[in-house]
Amino acid sequence: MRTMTILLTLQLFCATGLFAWQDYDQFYNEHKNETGVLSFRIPTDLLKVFVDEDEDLDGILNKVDQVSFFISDERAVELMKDLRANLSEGTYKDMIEMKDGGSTIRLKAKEAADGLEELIISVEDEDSLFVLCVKGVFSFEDARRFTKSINTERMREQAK
Amino acid sequence: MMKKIIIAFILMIPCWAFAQESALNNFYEKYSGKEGYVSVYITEFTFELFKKIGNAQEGKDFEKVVTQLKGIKMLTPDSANRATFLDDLLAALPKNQYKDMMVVRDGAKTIRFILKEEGPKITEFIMTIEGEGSPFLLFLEGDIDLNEIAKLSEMMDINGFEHLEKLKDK
Repeated sequence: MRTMTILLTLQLFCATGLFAWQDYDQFYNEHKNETGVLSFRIPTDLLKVFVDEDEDLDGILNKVDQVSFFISDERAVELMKDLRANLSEGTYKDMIEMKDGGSTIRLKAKEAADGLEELIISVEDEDSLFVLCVKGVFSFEDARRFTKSINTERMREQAK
Repeated sequence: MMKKIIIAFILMIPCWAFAQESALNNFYEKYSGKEGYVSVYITEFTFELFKKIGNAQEGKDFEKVVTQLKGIKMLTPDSANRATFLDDLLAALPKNQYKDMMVVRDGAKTIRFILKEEGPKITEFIMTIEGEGSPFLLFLEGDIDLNEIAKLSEMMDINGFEHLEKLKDK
């Protein structure tokens, strides 16, 4: 009887999704083939061809395992909700949030034992969604380089 | 009677919670995401990451600065909204909570530092820049040590933070 109760409880947890593993890949795979969605993954070697390695990016590209893009200008609101549900606070931590009028840019990170294993940059508008996911093994120093891209002087110039 | 007191007490809780909201944060939330304004929020998690960077001494120094830091927020308006931005900000900050600490004039720029103290602690540190382009608001929240804050400029390496080094001259 006791075993039955435990099994039933476990089944209930699974059925309610409490054990469901949620991450960015789940979101990407679920929506990548939908109408109005443009999604693609770029091999790291190809990425190196397109990106100029400057001082800031020096070395970081070698640590990238995979880059994926997800772009949608249809059902953006619905997709944003689903994206947020998949990037749970426990797993993906907010690093930076930037708002420019109605657009919101977010940088989220998934922590690994001694660094970061996933960086997600999302750009949300009222009618479009753009997500860039970079997977690899990044040090905390790499994370600092990302924040260096914030230029407050440029912010003021942009607002001019 | 006792039941009524308990109900009144429970009903008052949201009011107290609202009263705790910082005037500065209310100002930030009012304009963040609004057309004509650009805002940036660097979270506590980011500082947690930065603590783990660099050699032991750098890490220790940084830890001193950011241990109690809850976040950094920045806000700037576009040309259409710049005229009254800083006046609106100063009007939104209650005089009995926020104190002017220092005003630095650097060429055409005026940099103002304002503090909010709660008991012996500095809980909010504000820096505004005006002149040459749009006005700019930057503030830090947490338990802030003024002696350590100038180090943020060197450690975070974010353009614009160099103005925090003016605190060294104080």
